[in-house]
Amino acid sequence: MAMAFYAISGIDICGAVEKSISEKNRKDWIEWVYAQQVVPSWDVNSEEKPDGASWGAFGFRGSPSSGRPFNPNQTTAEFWHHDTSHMAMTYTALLTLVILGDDLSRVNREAIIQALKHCQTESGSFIASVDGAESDMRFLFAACAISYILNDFRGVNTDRAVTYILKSRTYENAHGGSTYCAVASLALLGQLHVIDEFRLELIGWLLKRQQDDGGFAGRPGKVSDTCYSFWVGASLEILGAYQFSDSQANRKFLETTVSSRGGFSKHADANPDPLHSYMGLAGLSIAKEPGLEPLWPQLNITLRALNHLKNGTKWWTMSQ
Amino acid sequence: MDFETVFSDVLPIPLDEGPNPISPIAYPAEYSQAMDYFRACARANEKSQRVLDLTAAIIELNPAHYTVWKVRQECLIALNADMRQELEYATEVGLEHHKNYQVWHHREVVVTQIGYDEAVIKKELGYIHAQFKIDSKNYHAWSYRQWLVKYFNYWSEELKEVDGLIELDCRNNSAWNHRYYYFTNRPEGFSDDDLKSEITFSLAHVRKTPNNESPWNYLRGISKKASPASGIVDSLVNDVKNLIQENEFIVHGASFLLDIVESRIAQEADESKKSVDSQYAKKLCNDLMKYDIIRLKFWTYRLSLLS
Repeated sequence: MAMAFYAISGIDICGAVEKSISEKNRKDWIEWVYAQQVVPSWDVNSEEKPDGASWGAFGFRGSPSSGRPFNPNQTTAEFWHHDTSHMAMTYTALLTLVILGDDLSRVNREAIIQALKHCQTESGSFIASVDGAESDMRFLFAACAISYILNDFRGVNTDRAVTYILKSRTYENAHGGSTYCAVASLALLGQLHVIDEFRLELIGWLLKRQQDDGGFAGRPGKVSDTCYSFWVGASLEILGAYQFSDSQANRKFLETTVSSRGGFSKHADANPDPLHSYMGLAGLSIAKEPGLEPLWPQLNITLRALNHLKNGTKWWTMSQ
Repeated sequence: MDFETVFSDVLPIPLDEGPNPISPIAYPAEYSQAMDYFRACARANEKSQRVLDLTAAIIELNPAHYTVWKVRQECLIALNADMRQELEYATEVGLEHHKNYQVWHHREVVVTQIGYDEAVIKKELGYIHAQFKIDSKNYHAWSYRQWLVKYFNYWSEELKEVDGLIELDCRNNSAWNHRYYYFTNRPEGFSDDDLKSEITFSLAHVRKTPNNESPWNYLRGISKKASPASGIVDSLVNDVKNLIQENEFIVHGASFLLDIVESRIAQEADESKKSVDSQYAKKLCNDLMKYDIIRLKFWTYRLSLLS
């Protein structure tokens, strides 16, 4: 699912969704994503949760790996052990559907929102999945993004989430990736003001990730890496401070990581991969590279797709 | 593992990708077969030795499948397995896959099952140390170490470990980070005396490698822990001022001073002291604009905030 998102959102940043994805593929791929939805065994909108059933599993799986028969249209399904959603996969599945132009009408919003509630820990972060209790900033961000896409924040306890984010702040911001997740989460929650006190210091820290070669590194003492052009660049953009970085120098660095086989790699001498190819494009888009679709860094999708989310999907257009 | 014999009573469940998947994956035959049996066992919620063995076979082919790890953990608990031996297994996998989220998380699950056992904790710290020998900035290893020492409230080896790692590589930011984690999380807390000796420690490093960002960031962090009446920050400002004058321009030092002086301006009531600090802050901005070209626009902005 994540691979699909990198590929399809990458195509979107290049402005080529209509041109390079055939109508048949577009429709089939929407079906494939829906077939990965983990649905409850009961109708959540009209029935009480049966005894023994659990809320935590709902959302999207990363692949059909649990062995469920392919069915993009089912609204309920018998409970299967270990057929569970994953926070990051629900996030990328929803974005992929939006980019492909779907209206999200087959998404079981109530089940997903209840699952989010179930997955928030006491400390305020989120577990990735009921099948694997890793919890950290990545999944808190995914929960905020899912809530935003579905236009429903009942699944996130904002106070607890903000407390977790502020507590996770070390004397510095430790890691470009987790800083993005924290800053974007606060933006999606409408809580960016809680960092006002150290906003300037945070901006300074992010800007210092830019190295002499023009690229961004994730932490002090590390070398530049393509993906931090997005993680750090997007954080700066959300904080309204991207203009303070040297985007020309960053572009020069990114040019060195473009592979002759297509795509981007982590460093000049590494092999290209889908994640870095996508992040390289996303980083260039934030730098307003001509010819690329502008990005909304809070969700990591193009403004084109964001516009479709707000004007062409069920949960934003229905009267609440 | 001869799947067909071991699971002769199980009907395998194949993968159903549908007619036109977005990104179909060409799985090797052995992996596909193992997963077909795994799906059937997971579906039946079977927790047994043979499923435990099956998870090991799959992990060898794909250590990032989190459901497989989860089923492994359920089998271990159901079978009342030897968790210390399981740590050995996790070590074997972990030494091959240093940055795999699942195997690091697995250790956490297993160690939690064992509960407090000093021998186990020491062994875990030793394992993490071995990982540091491979990559002393491994984010997973550091996160696990932070979880471990806090969870078991076991702090006795931490300072020695970070001292050693900073000695080995003073640019190891993770080690500096952990130093801060140690002082701000251990039950004894962080006294003004601790602060003073940590300032001395950092300044010594700053003198050796002025352009190393890590001790500067560390100083930034610990200086916020000073009690306002102690005068520690004022004396630190003077030390750093002198250091900057003695040396060629130090970008991290100037930027550190700028932040501290700015916050002092905000708190200062005395107008003449305020004006001295303000003049100094402007000079720092001008110097930074000259020497830190890549952030020129930021320092220009900072200067504009001062006028």
